[in-house]
Amino acid sequence: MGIAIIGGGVAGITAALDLADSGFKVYLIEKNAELGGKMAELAECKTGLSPKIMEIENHPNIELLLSSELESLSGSAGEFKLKVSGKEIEAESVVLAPGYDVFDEIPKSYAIGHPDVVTSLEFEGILMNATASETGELLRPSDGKRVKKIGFIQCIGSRCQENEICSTACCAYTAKEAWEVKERYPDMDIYVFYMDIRVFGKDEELVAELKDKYGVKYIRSRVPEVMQENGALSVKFENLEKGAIDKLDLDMVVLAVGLLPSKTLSRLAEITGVKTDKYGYLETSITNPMETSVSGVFACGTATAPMKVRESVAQASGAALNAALLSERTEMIPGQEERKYVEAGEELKIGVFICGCEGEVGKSVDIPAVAERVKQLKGVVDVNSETDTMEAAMEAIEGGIVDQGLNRIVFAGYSPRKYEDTARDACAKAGLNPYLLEMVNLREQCACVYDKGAATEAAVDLILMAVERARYLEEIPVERYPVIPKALVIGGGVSGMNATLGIADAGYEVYLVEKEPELGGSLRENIELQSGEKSSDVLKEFIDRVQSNERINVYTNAKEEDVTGRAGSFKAKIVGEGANEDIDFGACIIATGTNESVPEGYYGYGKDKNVVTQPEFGKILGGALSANTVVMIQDVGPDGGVNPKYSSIELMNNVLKAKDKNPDLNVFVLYQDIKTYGKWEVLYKEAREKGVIFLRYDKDKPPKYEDGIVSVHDVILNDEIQIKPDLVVLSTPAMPAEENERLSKMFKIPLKKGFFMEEQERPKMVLTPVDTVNEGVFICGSAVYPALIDECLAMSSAAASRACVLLAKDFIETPAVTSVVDELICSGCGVCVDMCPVEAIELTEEPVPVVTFGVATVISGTKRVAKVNDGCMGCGSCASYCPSGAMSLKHFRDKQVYAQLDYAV
Amino acid sequence: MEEAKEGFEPKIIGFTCNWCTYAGADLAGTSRKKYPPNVRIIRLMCSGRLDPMFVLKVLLNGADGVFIGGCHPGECHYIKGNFYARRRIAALRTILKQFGLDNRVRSEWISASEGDKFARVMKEMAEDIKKLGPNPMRDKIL
Amino acid sequence: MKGTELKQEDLEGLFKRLLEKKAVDCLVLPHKVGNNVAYMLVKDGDKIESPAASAIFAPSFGVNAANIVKGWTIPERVGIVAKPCEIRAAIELMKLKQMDKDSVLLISADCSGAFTNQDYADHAGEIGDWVDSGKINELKDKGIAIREACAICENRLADVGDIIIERVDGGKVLVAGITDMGVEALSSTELSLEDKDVERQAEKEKIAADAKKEKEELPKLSSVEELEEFLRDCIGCKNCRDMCPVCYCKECFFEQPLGKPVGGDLLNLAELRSAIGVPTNQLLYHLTRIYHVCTTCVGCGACEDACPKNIPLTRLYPMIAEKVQEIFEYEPGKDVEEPLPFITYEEEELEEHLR
Repeated sequence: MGIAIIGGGVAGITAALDLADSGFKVYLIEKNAELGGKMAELAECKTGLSPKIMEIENHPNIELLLSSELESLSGSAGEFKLKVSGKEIEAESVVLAPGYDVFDEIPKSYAIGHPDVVTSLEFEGILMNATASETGELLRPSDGKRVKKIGFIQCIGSRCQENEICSTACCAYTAKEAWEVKERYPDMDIYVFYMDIRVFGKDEELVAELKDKYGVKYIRSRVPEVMQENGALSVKFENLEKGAIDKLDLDMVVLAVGLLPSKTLSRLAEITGVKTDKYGYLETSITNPMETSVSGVFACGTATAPMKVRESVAQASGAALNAALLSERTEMIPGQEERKYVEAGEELKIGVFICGCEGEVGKSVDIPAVAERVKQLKGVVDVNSETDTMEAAMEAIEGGIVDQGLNRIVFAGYSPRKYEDTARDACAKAGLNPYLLEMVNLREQCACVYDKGAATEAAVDLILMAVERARYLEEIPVERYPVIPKALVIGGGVSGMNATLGIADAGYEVYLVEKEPELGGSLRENIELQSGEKSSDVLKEFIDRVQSNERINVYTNAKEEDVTGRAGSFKAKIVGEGANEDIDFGACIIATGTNESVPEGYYGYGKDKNVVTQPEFGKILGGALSANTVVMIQDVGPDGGVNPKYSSIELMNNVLKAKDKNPDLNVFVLYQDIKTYGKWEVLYKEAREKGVIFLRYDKDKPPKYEDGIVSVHDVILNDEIQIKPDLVVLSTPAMPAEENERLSKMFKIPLKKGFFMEEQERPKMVLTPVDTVNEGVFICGSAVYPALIDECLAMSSAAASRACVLLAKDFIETPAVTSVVDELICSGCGVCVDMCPVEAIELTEEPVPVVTFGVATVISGTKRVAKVNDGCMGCGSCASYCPSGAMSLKHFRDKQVYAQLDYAV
Repeated sequence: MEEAKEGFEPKIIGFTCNWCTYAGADLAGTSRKKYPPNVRIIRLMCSGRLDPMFVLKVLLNGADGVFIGGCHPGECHYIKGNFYARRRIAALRTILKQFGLDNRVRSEWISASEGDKFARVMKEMAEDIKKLGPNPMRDKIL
Repeated sequence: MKGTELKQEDLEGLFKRLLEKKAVDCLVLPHKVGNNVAYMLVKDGDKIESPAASAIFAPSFGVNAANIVKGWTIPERVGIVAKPCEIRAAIELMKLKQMDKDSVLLISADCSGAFTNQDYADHAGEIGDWVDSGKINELKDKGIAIREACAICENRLADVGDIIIERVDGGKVLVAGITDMGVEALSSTELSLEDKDVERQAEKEKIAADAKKEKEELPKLSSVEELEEFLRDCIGCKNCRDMCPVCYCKECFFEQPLGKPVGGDLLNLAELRSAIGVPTNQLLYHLTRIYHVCTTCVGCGACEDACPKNIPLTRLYPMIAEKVQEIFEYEPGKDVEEPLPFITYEEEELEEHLR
């Protein structure tokens, strides 16, 4: 049996790899002929995705069913029967990841059909082509004139009658496109017309930078139409500064088009019997964000709600874990077999393999001519230019090593970024140390970009450089160490407990460490969740399950110290009340959560009992509400925190509850941006319908509260407004957990504003949002960025899933490309120690006798020498500094680079 | 501006970070963004591995241009390798400036998704260096 | 800073007491050797000659004192009395852990600009124990010029280290501790110290202005061909490296196989490049050395003095290092706590220097 995944977009791909990598049989079912989904339509996103697609295509545990559709589903959890385009499949669980479609009923009023009015997706392509064109100019599609003014219009097909919810992703992708344009064309005038800017974390910084540094004009106005006169475009908008309607001529208009559930989704719901919500998305709940109405069928990604890639991927990993818990591991995990290498020997026997790459290389490179030239090189005993596919090339390489005793391999063809692992594996299989392989990027960096003739010349140069480098390659011992099948989870809030349960249910022992006397984290404050559930009920279930699970060791009033080791094999000490224990574990999850900030002194908070925070107001709403007029102020409070993702949602919830209790209540909300993303938008709509008054203030003119009167300068009315409230409610920033600073140092994971969000912002991390730069350490929940419980649960399941992928392995290879010190040459200056990003170099000091003329020891001196420890990641910064070359990076030693340089010119 | 020297095809050595610019160059390839055939790329794991001596050596060997590609500041795979690289490159170019060689060395932050930027920079560099003419160290016996 | 004024002839007494009171275990101190001035390492205070001031202020430069103590890894406390450029070099070496900042006591003395030690010895009578700018010009007219490195030096007044020795009118000196360690050492000699705040801003500015003018008048190298011509006479002896106080490698890259290929390696290279110049890596050596010392070079000119072929290396090393130090806003040897430019960074900086 196995697990069936419907949908081969980024969510389906993520879920499939997590499962297959931990030894489950996976059926990946995609209706199109290719994997990748919507993401693959964007050239730049495809780059990130394509290595994963390649992995899937070559994965022994994945059966790929392309151009296939689910026709029926029968049976129940543990024994589903699926019919996929006529084929019968049995699976223990099913993951639905059908993705989204874009809104396609853009009103005619937006001059749709005019060549200069495009969607964001289309604009992406235009921009890419423009910058790579002969002139590099961005030209108007209609008449080829240079574009000077672009208008981006937000919320097309979202937050409107046809689609009342917010599409969540558009604010951020528009900002990214605006940034790209400004980077390339600094003189371009850019206008962004928006309603609210719904971005968090790094995107918030990007928008601020666009406004302040790049001069992008963000104009809050819903633009109802794009006008055209004699082909020229213009828009009308409300100019709040002037208090008048303004007209603006534009060269191009970009429409940020919203997301809808996939067109296939209703049919899929029908077949599987899974319920959908009123917007047509798969129905899930905020306390079970990946569970559908059918047991054993899980949902993830944009099929459950509009969301960004990062959130989709987290849900996908989470769904994978849930599916895994219902299934049995039946397959081998690839790459776990032991390898033996033969000694490479003294005499160089270089084999050069030139691969045609399915005809691609041959189109512009004269392969026989290149081969002829390469044959003349010293030490080259074989040049093979017969192969045209990766498989054939690998076979040839293995044969060459075994039959001819080749001991250096130069493989010219595909990019090493895609196939280096595969090619190294081929060498290893044949018994050659995999670091005796050198790859030449003949396809991407030569044949695809150069014309005939020039490409042949470049190919010769590149291969000569590689052969020269190959002469100096060294065998690097490949060592392995066993994985300790246990995990450490830091933080006993709902995220930490959920991750703990996930890992324990998958069969591994877990240490759960909580600094407080009891488990529960921020949910211990008894509140009503957005779903109406009591947090205490939700919490009780989690705590009961944790405490009754014998694989879980709970430590409260405790903390972890002295963490050492690396992915698969860590050591630490748990200290605290009644505990002082040395533990070892293979993976670690950080789930420290967040703290509420206390807005002491803001608007008289702390002195005036009529000033409360939103959570406090929530509690007041549990009893009787005596107030007649309530003023709510957003974004108030001490510096140093971040605006949590749930801030506006919490506010709307409280507003609506208050209005329920007292329909005549006057509520004023003073805000800058209302960020009710996704489906939460309907709360905002409902609040407005119920007469709640929203007044927007400028961040430079914050509201005042004096003598019981709130005064605020309303930007829309451009006037001062005074309100006499009975109650002032403040929405405050969320603060990081105190121990984050310590954990950041201990695990060498960077923080930003006290949270671990920095990790997610590395470009490569979008597809692995809970992984960190420190392999084997994962992050989740509000420790990353304060979020709603559904997102925390999805992320913590994802973290558990990623941890299980690691724990499922028996062995891990030690990193081979690391730095080494020549102790005889090291002067002990310690510059490399300061420079190392992961503190992997120590300066050891040992006393040395200072001997006079070799006879008498007169005084003792100190000898300082740098030593590289296990933490080295192999960046090579230390080697680049070291003036004497005492420090070098294996595989990128000076002599290896020099060899290339000598041949390069 | 000086006209490009006729028939001169510059040789540019590109040192690129594996995680960003190298991948960007790959993307330029897969999306068939052509650029002049003057660059020979050397892959490093991080721009932080770029020892300025590599640049000095290859310039003395006669390379007409040297390109260095790293991750955008703040996006280094190794957290801060490119910050150190930036300092080294700035120092190196300041030294080269005294000998009129700085214009032959250019570094750019190019992410894995900026294939078009890679192609554009290669095109610009080839043009700029054609205008500069061959490296005076070319064909010298050094 | 805390200090006191002394007569110049009291200086030897001060140094003796530093040794007697164990403020230091030994002293590196200049002394007169015939007409010349050289350094000695003193353990016994009685060996300190009188008048010490004439050696300390004598405008003669031989080796950079920092180079003498470089690489000492002993806990014994060493005092160094030297010119400001030598003390600055010592401070850079402390940052590079080639000298222990807790056990080396740095004492800088005012410098007027110096002659090479051979020029000084040859004309000791005319030059005397101290020169002022008038005297420098007068001697220059006679063809006895101070070292180029000194002529362009903007930091001749003692203001670095732990203790400074300033010349004061009337044959006196001001001795002051400018770090805790310096004050402690001086206190141990039973001098009565008082708070001193002698700003010599005007004087400093004048020196800097004159130095800048001199610098502008120096011939500049502007192309790599000119550099080649400039280094034409280089025989690759690497004396400039050996005498450089801030070149600190235990084994220089250019002594290793990759930097100094011999035999088969050399033949291979010759085959690869058809022909190569020998000894190899002449230009690469100097360019690399500029880069290696570009942030730490204190402009002492020891490289130039060391060149047996009289290549005016001051026009190469300090002149270029200064440009690099400008972009990092870094002054080597000013403050031992200031991080070296290559181990620190700002998130946004230097973009204008990259392309």
